[in-house]
Amino acid sequence: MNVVMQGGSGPSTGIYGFLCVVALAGPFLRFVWKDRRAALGGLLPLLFMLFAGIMVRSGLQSLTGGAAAGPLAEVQRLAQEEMMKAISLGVGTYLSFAVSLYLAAAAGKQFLVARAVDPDLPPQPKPAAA
Amino acid sequence: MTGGLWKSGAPPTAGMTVDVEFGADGSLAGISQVADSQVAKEQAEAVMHAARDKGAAMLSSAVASFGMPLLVATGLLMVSWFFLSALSVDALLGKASFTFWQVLGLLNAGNA
Repeated sequence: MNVVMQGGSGPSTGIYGFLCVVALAGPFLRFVWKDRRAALGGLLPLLFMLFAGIMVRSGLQSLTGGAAAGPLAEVQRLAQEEMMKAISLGVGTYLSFAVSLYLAAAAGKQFLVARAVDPDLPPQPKPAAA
Repeated sequence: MTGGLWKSGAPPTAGMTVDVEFGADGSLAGISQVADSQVAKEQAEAVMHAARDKGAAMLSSAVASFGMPLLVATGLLMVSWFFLSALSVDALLGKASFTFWQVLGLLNAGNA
């Protein structure tokens, strides 16, 4: 699949590519695993996007070096600001985020409906009184 | 043997593909050769038609199993992850765009 998606060029996506495919298959989990928790597979695309976003952000921050102290901290902050200004999100990010939100909302709704109609549901633990 | 029924320039041979025309009264009106290119075209059309029918059957089966919203959402997700620009970087030499999949490749390579 890597070769198909990359057209034979670019770095290998490795474990991230595998997780991406797993996240893509997440919303279909409930069709093969007959358990009410399987509906939560729909959350995987959103969680994976958030995970990838965090990884990208931390990777960009590490490019400008670790946390510096003193006068270097200001220089580092400016460098990070300039780098973040040069980077803009594309339509793919917005569209995939919107679709992931839809899938997550649908998954949450299905999970809650499944819980409501399942008579074997264990009782909810009550929060301890302060 | 074909008398005046044969309407093609080339003489009839065994195994030749022909068109047979019938008159209003059901009698043979004419026989003509079908060009090999026409035969190949019709075979290709038949294969395409069969593939289209099979694809439509598979699609309707998938819609019945998973539902159209989930299939459309997954399709959109695939398009946006693999083909649309997720990140753009304004560099000195110009603007570079990366799809989400390419960003994952950069992450894996430790470049992001």
